[in-house]
Amino acid sequence: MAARMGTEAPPGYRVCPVTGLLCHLPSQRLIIANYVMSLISLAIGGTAAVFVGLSRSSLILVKDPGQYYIWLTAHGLNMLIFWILWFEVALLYFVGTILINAPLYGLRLAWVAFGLMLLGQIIMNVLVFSGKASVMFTAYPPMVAHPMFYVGYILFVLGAGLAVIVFFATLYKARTEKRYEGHLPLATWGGAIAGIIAITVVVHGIISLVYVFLYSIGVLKTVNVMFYRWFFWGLGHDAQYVNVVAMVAVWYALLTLASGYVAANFINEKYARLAFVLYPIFVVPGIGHHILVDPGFSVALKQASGSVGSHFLSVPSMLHAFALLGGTEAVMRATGRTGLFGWLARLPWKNPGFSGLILSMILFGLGGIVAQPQTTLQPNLLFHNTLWVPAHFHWTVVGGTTLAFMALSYYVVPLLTLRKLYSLNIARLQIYLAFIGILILGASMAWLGWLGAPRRTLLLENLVRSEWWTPMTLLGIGAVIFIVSGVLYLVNILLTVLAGKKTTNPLELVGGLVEQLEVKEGAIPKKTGSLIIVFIFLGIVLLSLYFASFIRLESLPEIW
Amino acid sequence: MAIFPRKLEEWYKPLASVDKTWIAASVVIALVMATTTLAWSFADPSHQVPTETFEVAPAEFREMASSFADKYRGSTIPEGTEIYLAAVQWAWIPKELRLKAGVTYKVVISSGDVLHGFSLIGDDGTVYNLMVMPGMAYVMYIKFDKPGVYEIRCNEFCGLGHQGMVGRIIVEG
Repeated sequence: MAARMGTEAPPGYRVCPVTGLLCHLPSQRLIIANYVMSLISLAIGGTAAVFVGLSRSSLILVKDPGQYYIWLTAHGLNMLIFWILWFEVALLYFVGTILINAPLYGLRLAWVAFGLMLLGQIIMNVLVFSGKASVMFTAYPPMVAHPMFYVGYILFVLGAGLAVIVFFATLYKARTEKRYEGHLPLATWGGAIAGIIAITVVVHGIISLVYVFLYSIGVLKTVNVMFYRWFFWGLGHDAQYVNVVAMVAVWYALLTLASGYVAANFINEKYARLAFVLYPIFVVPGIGHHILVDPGFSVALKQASGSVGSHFLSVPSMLHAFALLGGTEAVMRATGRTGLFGWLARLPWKNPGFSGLILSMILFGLGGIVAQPQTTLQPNLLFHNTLWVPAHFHWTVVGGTTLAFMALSYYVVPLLTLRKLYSLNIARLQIYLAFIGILILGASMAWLGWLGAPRRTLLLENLVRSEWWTPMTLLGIGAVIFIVSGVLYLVNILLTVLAGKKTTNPLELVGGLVEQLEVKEGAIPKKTGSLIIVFIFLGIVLLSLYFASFIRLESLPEIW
Repeated sequence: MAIFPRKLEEWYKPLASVDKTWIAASVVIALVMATTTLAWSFADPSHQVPTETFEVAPAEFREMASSFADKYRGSTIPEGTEIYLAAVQWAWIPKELRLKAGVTYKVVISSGDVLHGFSLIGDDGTVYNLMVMPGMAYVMYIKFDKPGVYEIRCNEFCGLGHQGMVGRIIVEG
């Protein structure tokens, strides 16, 4: 692994004391700058989460609708758009430079991208918090925000698009300059797939946002809501698949890092790369699941794009689930932890890489399971715009993506800053708190959604149906637990950067983060247990819920 | 190595039989769902997304719903009447509909201004949701079997008074 260990770093570079990889210092500054912005966004979105979560709980913290919708818009934007995209830009720069020994190509352009995104974010947050843009992150016309809100949005999306272009230019340059031998690492390959999807996001985003901007300043006198909704979801939906693909790439990186590279030999990369390629094929046809109950679109389009397209979009995620769980099982068995599920019980659960990986996969799986009836033409009638929808994306984006990103940062931050993680115990605890918090939050939202409670609605006391109170209480508990874990994450990272022990000793830098695994002679790295697990959860449980929602539809009054 | 560059011969390995099993299984799972939704369109025509739609100007539709509301305020809507239901910021027009159980009604639903959501929530556990779009009307057919009370709530954010958009359908025996 430590291919360059002991070699002198050329000027402007340093050699990572743990991995032996070359780090181009000006590129590293960009990775850190984008990561810092993601943390700032997480802090803003997290502050908003306190008000949103507790207002949707039985406490009903904020009672003024104007205030509530400001917090809700701020929460959606800062979490779903800003935190995730900043982190992803940092991630693309990381997998596109350090992992392949290359410098970022177009450093100035990368800083321009940074500036555009920052400017866009500042404009949008100022307008949202001054109450001039309470339109949610979806900004559906004909309701309009202050025109500058859309300008900010466009700048942010353009900046992110520019960053993706820099990433691809970097990959191209690294390849032509032969910075690495053989093929791209799996994590970089996943990043490149995420980058391809990001390009479709930017194209759709610019079309829809320029369109609504022209309407907001009066250049366009009328607005076609169907047109906007289709193209907006080309931004909103495809962006979530950038998250999914980035998250899966992070999962592979986590398994590799946490096992001290041993697991890498037990992942079938042909299978994994094939699964990655399926995402961009189905991602644009999948947009349609957002318009399943919109008037004006044909049933044929709704079923082809929304339902069939989206069901097949879940295939690559199902494939990765088995690749990662199976890879984990194989490495555990190979190192002597045998038994059909014995390997699972004997996983290094105290290791934040392993726990982060497995718990993030469980939550993402739950999110995927509840998504299936919701993305189907007829059962979607039960779930559309209820709290079932945020249950789905809190499990996928927060439980899946955010938890995976958090776990990865416990590895990457010490390596980039050459400081020991401030507290390994807090990191361990944080992963579990995040899991429990989002598990409860998502379950209570799904429960409320099943009972018909609307999303994006401040339910004042007189608007709450009696059967909604119990899950609302649970929702508040889940939100508080997750917020505590978010604070622990931010504080731990901040203290690492500010007060972590400076060291270049690999044992200190990754001590407790990397398991000492030794492959035993003659051990059989089977994947039987994993096959049974994925079959039960993604086969039986998933289809049971799917058919249950059809059965429930039958009990409704006749409406067609 | 997932985080290091690799040569083709290092990572290109044949798929194991468990890998192939799961690839086949996940494609089958997706196919089962896709087939079910397609078949359902024919299997049960009375629990579907409405397919009849037409274009209508929001202001015009609001007028249609208002005059309908004036005509039937407080009275049970007779069989064969075409019902107009408009979502506006921030109310339903009409606010209340009195229907008869066992009768199929034709309901035309659209928006008088911005995007809204139509959410029917009943004490019997009914939940049914549609988008309500300005400029485009849905024509839906509804038949309630039993008497009961149903709430109509807006579930697409439509401005600061959004949460208060609550109407009612009262089904009489």
